[in-house]
Amino acid sequence: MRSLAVISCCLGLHTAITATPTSSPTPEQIEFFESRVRPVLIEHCYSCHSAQADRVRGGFWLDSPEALLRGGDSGPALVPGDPDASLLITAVRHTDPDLRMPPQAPKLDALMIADLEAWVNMGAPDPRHADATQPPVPPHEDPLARQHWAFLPVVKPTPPSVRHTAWILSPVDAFVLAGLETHQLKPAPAADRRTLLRRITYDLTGLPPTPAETRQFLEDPSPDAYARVVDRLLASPRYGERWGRYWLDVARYADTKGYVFQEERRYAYAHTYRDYVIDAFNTDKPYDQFLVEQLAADQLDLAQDNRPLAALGFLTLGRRFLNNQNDIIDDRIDVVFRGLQALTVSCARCHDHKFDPIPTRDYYALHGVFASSEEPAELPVLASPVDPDQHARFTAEKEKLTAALETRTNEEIERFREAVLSRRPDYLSAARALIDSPDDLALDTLATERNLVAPLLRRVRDSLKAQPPPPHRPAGPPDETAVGESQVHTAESGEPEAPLPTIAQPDPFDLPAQDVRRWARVQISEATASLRNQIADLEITHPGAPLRAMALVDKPQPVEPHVFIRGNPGTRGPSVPRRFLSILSGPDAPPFQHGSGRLELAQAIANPNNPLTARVIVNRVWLGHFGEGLVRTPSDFGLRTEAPPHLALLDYLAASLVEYQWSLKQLHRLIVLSNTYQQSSADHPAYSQMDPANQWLWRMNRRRLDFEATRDTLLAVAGNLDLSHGGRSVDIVGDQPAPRRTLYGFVDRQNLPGLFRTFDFANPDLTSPRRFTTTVPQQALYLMNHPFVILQARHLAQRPEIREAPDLPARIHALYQLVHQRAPDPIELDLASAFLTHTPHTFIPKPPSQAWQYGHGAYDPDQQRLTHFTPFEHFADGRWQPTREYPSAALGYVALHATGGHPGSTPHSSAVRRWTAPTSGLITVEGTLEHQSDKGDGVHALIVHPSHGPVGRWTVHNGSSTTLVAPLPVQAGDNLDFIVECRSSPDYDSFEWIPLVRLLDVDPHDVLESEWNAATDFVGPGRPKPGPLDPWERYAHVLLQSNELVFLD
Amino acid sequence: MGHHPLPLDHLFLTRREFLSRCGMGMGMLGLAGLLHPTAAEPNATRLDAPLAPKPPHFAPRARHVIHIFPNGGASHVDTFDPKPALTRYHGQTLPMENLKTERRTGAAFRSPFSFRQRGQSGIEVSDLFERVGGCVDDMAIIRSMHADVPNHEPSLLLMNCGEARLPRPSMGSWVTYGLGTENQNLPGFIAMCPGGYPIQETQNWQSAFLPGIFQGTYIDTQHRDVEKLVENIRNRQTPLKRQREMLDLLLELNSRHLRQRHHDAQLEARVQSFELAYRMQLEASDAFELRQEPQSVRDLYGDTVQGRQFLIARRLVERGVRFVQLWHGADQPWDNHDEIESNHRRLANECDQPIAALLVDLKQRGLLDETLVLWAGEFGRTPTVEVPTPGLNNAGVKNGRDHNHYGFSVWLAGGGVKGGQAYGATDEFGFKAAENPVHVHDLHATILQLLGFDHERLTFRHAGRDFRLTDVHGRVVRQILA
Repeated sequence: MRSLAVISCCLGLHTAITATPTSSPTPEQIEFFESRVRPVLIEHCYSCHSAQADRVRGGFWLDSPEALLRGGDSGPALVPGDPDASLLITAVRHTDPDLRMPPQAPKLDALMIADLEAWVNMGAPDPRHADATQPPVPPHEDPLARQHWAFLPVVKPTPPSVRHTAWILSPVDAFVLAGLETHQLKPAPAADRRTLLRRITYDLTGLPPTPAETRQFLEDPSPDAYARVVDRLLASPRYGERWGRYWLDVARYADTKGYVFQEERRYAYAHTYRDYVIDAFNTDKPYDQFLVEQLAADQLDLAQDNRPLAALGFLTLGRRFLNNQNDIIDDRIDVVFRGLQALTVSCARCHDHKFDPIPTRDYYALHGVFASSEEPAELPVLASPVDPDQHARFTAEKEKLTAALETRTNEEIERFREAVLSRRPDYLSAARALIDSPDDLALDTLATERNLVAPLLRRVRDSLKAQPPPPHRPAGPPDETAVGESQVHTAESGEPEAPLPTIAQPDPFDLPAQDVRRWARVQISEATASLRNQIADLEITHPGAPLRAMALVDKPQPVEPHVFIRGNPGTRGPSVPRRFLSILSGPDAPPFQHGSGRLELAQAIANPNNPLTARVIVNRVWLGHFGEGLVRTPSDFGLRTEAPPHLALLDYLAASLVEYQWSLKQLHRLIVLSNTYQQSSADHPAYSQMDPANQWLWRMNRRRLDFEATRDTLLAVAGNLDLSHGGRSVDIVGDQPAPRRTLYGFVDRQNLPGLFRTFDFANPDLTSPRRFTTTVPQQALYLMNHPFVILQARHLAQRPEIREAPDLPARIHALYQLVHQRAPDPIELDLASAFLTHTPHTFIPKPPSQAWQYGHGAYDPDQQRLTHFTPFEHFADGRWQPTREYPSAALGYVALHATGGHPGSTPHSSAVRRWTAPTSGLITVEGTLEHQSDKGDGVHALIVHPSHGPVGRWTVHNGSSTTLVAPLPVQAGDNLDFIVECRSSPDYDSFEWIPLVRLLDVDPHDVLESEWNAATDFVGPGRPKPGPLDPWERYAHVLLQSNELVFLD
Repeated sequence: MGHHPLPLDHLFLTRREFLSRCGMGMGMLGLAGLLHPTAAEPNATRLDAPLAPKPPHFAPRARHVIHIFPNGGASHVDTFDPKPALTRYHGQTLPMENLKTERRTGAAFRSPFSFRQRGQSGIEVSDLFERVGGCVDDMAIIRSMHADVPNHEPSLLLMNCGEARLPRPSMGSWVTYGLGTENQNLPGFIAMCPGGYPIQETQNWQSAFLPGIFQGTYIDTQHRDVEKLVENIRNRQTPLKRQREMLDLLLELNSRHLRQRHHDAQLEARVQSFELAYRMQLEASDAFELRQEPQSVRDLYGDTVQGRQFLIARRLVERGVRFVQLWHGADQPWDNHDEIESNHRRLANECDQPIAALLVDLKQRGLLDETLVLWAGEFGRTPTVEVPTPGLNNAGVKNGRDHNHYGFSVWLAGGGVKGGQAYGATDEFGFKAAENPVHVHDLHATILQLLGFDHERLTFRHAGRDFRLTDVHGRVVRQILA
């Protein structure tokens, strides 16, 4: 959508007259304006051209007379008294196809246009002085912007003096207490030690304390017991996993590229970035170095240890937008500036930032930095050990695939070459048609129309040009646009051909392989897609694949950036140098000197004098400990974010971080060793009236565990948590979820599994300032019903501490220690024992797998029952069968699989699927028996009830039959046999039959199942479905769902 | 804060009592529980109950939306936009230049289907949609739609999210964010597609920067088993009666925990969520249980994949689900570059009866007034024949149409829409929107209007600015409002 001002500029319509507003309008004029003009302007123009507009178009406002006269970038829009000279009128008349307002038809009613013309004719009387809005000074030109708190240098404040000095444990407390005292608030009492241990353990590691750790701390009377716990936790590898994950939210970490066409969707090496981050936190890598490595590790002197190259994943592992470079760059600018500087620089992609001092030229200065960087064709191998045997196997496998790829490519080149050569006459005829045309467009068009390779056609034409012209006019181009059957014009199609001219040397049909390869790019790409994906898959999954960094390097020649007007790469504005933000480095800051400038960008950010860098990270750390940042918008410190109430504290922490040589572990200590952090979270009704958001920190905030901590806790208390470190991401949502820490779970940003979304996981498409904390029933459903959670409940109840405890109270005690790190109180003990000893009188059915058995047998038509039933003893290839060898020597092909099977070679070895009624009631049976061979003579099937005999019989041969059984009473324990017999011929007897047994009129509260589907219930011997939970397991399951487990006081 | 001094010995509150107390506590929730409360948006979303129903800006005409998505690009000149000129020019070059679409197209290509006037309004619909045509008096057909580019991916995102490339929330997410949903036992926004995802996959119903709970819940309607339809809806190891006993114990433990902490609203909200989940197990199964429908209703829709998913859609809307999207099928079924006659015939045969059944059924139940039914795909198709590209088309045929974003048709029915009209027009041949063009942003603005929103005020603060579905665009098409 183009705007008046921009277009008028393009057209050079500078209306260079100085108009003066009419003197005060008459009441009639005001009436006319108010009733006929203002409503039109408001309805049709203000949305783009007023101070209220979301985004003002073309720098043009028309909500005040002054603004109308001033017009947009290119001059006045209005000439009072002269509608024809007024761009405003030209625009609404839609007479100029390039200047139409509103830009998307329809144009205004004729009446409205006439009113506007009349109004201009009368001198454009405009009473809007009272509410006139001036186009505001753009923020980047406003000198006051530099005075914004976040842009001022960090000066370390002196901790304020307070009355209750006894409470001061850390300088943090002085700032907090001073705020509280000013507002007549008092800090909450200290949290009890069990609560404190739980809080600090989760905060630093994302896991609960063990019963042993709890006991040790509670029994340690020394004054530095807590400080030693903090040291222990900071030294734990679990710390990096917890805090690294917070950073991965900022870094919009994911294991996939987003939407792709054909190429491999997964990133092979995203996890090397994830592991780099974890290690950086664990080794307390100075934060400034951490930042520089993530932006420009490739430009550092890394000597032997190139592992920091993995840090560049910060830039490269964003969404790929189908490889749209400008969107990729925008994503990188966004993650760098919102993530590290809390500035929404991406807003300046299409226009100067509306609120912050970030002009579009700043955006494109940075755009140039990233446009001058590229991912190397071969990612660098990281110095990390790989099992040599596995590596050898990987290399061999990869070489094999690479060779196959090369072969396939060459085949495709040859195929293409032959196809081209077979159409030599077509090229010649097209070239003749073009011989007098110097126009490349005509050549390209003809090439497209006739499906010829344009560069070759050009060659042939040029070669022909060197010849004398042919004696007669060649046939004109055929009409290929008609509808109907194919009219592919080849030499064979019988097109009248002129005698072919001789060809000059060198022969243009002498095709060098590299040319054919280029022309056949699309065909090669299609033909090799599968092989390329196999290679990608090998790199992603093979244990011997070397690890690589998702690196970035500078292009040999940096790009000289231009502003893209309105963000449109097709509309280039002024050129800008690659350099840092003007608000932070001044308008005349020198351009970056070296290559892309990425290292200089990194250094400008990781600079102790940068007013944002330290403030932003200490705020994120504070958020991690308190559940709220000191600044409540952690990724936006722009002009619309007011100075936080605790700005001095923020600055104190920021200055301290720099003094600590950017050690984050020191920063944690400064915060968590304070009395502020150690407060109780108990409510104070009067205070929560005065300060409901707790911005003065009169207590600790109560927090809910996030997704990772919740899932990790379930695994930890069940004793199942696999604490192995790093490596490729694992599946945590499938049928066999890995018991690893949740941060190692595979993150598919394209189709993020419901589990992640339900538990408020950070959106992996965009840098994430903080997690939402929603409460929805889907979270409860997961905890109540998901097999993973139920499995943890089973394991928890089976832990030796619990199983081996001497009596019921001791077992409950042990459970409480594991789950809640405390002893149960007497009421809780009573509740537990009441629950555990309550014997249910209702029937508990068998689990579904036990409802079905698989075997062979013989049906006796005289007795109308099965004379024997022999369960199959072997399971192979998804099939139950009588013997290990198949077919069985004695019984033939008799077997059953999920959806069907095969009868034996005689009626004595029929296939029998047996369903046992778990309860008494009425049942129905549905299903379709199919036999799909015209050979043999088909099969015969029966359903036999123990007292009613056969309740259905069907014969099918090369067809199907519906197998319905009307409501039928069964007693608990009755067997219903689904028998399939061969007929006279034992051959070609494979059948499909999925009986569905349905129990009618059941109370869903009483039974697990009212439907049994032979296919979905089908299981082999290895993984029988677990039975119902016993009371202890159910009790453990309740504790795992409790509020006490998921909330931190 | 809600503070209820309960005697400690009063341990065994009934569930009803307890939950009503919780409700009181939550009603007094402080600002801390709100999502981006601003003066401009007093109806801010409560994070402890993000799907609670909320009033829009003004009285809504529609309360639910069913969006039928003929993905791949149904041809407007073969369905809802008759172009006799194509018959006259059939096989000849158009007197206008062919617009540039994804692939090359050639001569004019008449519709192989016949159009005829339908209903009181006499609007022409082709015989592809014989039964839908019978409902034309309830439908407002917009024949002047246009989008930005002739490619599926960006156009799908534009139609669904109002932005062609960058991650932005989908229309269903915006609506659910703005209105909440009326049945807390079911997801508020459900996207149904039989057999797998459409292209661009779950991005079509993404929540992007809105909380994840507003994302569409995907359901593969090829399945019939409720467990495959709603995640974690069944417990295979514990029957409901046992589960109720467990939840009663959980409630008692949680209520003690809660009382010791002065009834913190976020704790109460989580207690409630388990009760909701318990009820959801029954209700969600019920919603997908088509056997409860009388045979006559099942016959009306037809016992086919499409028939079943349309009937499920009605059952969901009836139960208060806010936004339902019905995709025709995985990938892009309507993308008929070749053999458009047989392919469009087959596809229309699959959905004509169910769509008409939905309109009739909703109307009979009095639900059509409050349910906006939208039939809108990502774009239409060219009035000219596609010239085959080797490797992309079936060899030797020339009987399909390419993508066309310059002009296409959508229709709306129910929910405050003035039926029996065709709004706007494409040019003589159906290539480009010519009269009263309606951009996808305008369609979005109009839909939000019907739901009671000023599309410029339904916003979410993200990355430093207030985002909205229509970005900086959108104009309400007032002519189609009743």
